[in-house]
Amino acid sequence: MKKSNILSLKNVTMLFLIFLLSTFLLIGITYYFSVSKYYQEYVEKNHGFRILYLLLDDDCDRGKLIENLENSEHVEDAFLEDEYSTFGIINEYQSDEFTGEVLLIGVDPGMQKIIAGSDLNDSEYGMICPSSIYPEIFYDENPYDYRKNIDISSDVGNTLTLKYGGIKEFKLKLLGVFDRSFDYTDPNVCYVTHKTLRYLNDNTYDYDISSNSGIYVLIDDLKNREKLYEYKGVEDVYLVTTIRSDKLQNIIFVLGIFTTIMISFIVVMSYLFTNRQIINNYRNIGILRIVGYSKKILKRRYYISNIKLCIIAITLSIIVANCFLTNFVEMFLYDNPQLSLMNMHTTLNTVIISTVIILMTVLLSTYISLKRIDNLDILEIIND
Amino acid sequence: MDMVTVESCSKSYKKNKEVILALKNISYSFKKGIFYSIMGPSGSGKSTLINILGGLIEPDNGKVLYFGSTIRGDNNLSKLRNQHIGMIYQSFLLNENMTALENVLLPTYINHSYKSIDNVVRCRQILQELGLKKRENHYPKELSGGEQQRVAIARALVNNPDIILADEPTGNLDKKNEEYVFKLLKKLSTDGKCVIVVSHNEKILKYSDINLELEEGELREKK
Repeated sequence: MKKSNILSLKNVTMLFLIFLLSTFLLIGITYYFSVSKYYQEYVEKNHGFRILYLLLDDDCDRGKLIENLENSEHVEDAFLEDEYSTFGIINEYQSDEFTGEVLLIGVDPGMQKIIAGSDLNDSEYGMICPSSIYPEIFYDENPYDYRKNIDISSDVGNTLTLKYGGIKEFKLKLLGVFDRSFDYTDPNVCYVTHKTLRYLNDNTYDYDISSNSGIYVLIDDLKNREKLYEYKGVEDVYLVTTIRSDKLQNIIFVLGIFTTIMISFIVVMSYLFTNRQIINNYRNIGILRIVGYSKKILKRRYYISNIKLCIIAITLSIIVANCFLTNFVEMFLYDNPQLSLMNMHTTLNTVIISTVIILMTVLLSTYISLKRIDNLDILEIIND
Repeated sequence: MDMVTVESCSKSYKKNKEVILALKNISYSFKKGIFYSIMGPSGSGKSTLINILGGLIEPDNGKVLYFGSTIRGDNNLSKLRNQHIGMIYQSFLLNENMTALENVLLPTYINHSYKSIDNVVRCRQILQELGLKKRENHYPKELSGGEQQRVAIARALVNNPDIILADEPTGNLDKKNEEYVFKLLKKLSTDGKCVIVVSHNEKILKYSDINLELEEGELREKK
């Protein structure tokens, strides 16, 4: 025996709409959480987000200030502006195979996977190099001829002698190598420990500390930035990298607008949908009232029908969103080595949040449209 | 035994800023096993009274007692209507998307008891008694006016109510079906139900036990 059509709100269009919006919401929230987690777990720990630029007054004794800063418990390192610019971005590099304080010299680390590793004693200076290194830093030959590349995998743990900046010879322990076989034309990129970089810098270049340049400081925690004002000659302190807040704010802004539009859309569509159902079945609802259906029972049936639609749509959207995030988004992420650490999978939290948002909005709009049942004029139906 | 009692009930409507008094301070007790007819000119408040008795609209003043008690709230009134009151209207008020059998089963859907075989058997039995056995799988548009009204009566009887309220039940029927419906309602009253029928049709006087007249919002027994 089939039930009345009034009591079953099966509508493919509405189902598709909720599914579509639920999918977008799920992907949006997953993206937001992934980016937040990425910044929290990876980027925030990066040296780049603890580097401050100190604006100094002209009379400041920069040599003395650097010395004072380096003696501070909160300052891990201090560089003159020229020195900092020469050696580029200071970055921390971490991987499953090697975790430690390592500096990148020159360029982005890319996706090189460290395939071997060795420990470093406090008294040693170390580096991580490509497994196949062309001999630019050893010999002045054509670096792009991969046949002349030297496999240094077997030298892990040994101390190598190399020329740094083409000026002096240094002895550095080869802590590890990473696979660079996918592109031999990449420049030689080595990762050195922070201590090693200071060692290299101090023994390679002379900097004019009497210049009017500012000072870059690597602070232990950004909360301590105010303490830098206590040093004589410091006029102002700026955060060098603001990418985190900018990016996150942009993401929150875009997602906020997107979510607001989606929720408004769901509210309006769900309201129109339920409203249309009620208007189309106005007479039949009146009949149900006459045979003893209370307003509560009638409303409950509409709520249940809409919740059923939501559950079906949300279940489908979880499957589709996961497939999309796994097979599509990650494909793009892997092109970017920094973003590749981002985990773009839906979690229980994202599912719960999007489900609650969808259910709340659908139920809210259903509640509004069901006000029509309260105002149902039974006499009008009877006399119609 | 008083089945339903109205005490000092008044009801008015606003129409184009004009207040129309449909019922004026009406008091009356409807008893078990009696066939009441309520007659009166159009707009005298007959339908209003039936709907107040059925708990579908509330009076502005006064109260309605069912089996000696006041029942308040939509949930309780709906439950009462479902279990103890059968309502029949001139326009039949059948669901066009349901067969005759499904329409009759409609009051039992509330408790999901439509799945009960007993209910289906009972509905079929009622339809058979009303001469609609071969019509149970027909939709309302496939039935004549008389047949549709019989389906509506069957629906009103499915939960074996104590009170039958009918508003112009023969308004859309031919003479043959008029007779049939009045006889049926009479039989229900002799079976112990309180039958209250609003009608313009004077033939009802032949069947009713007590004739009431509603004029200008006032209810009087007609000798």
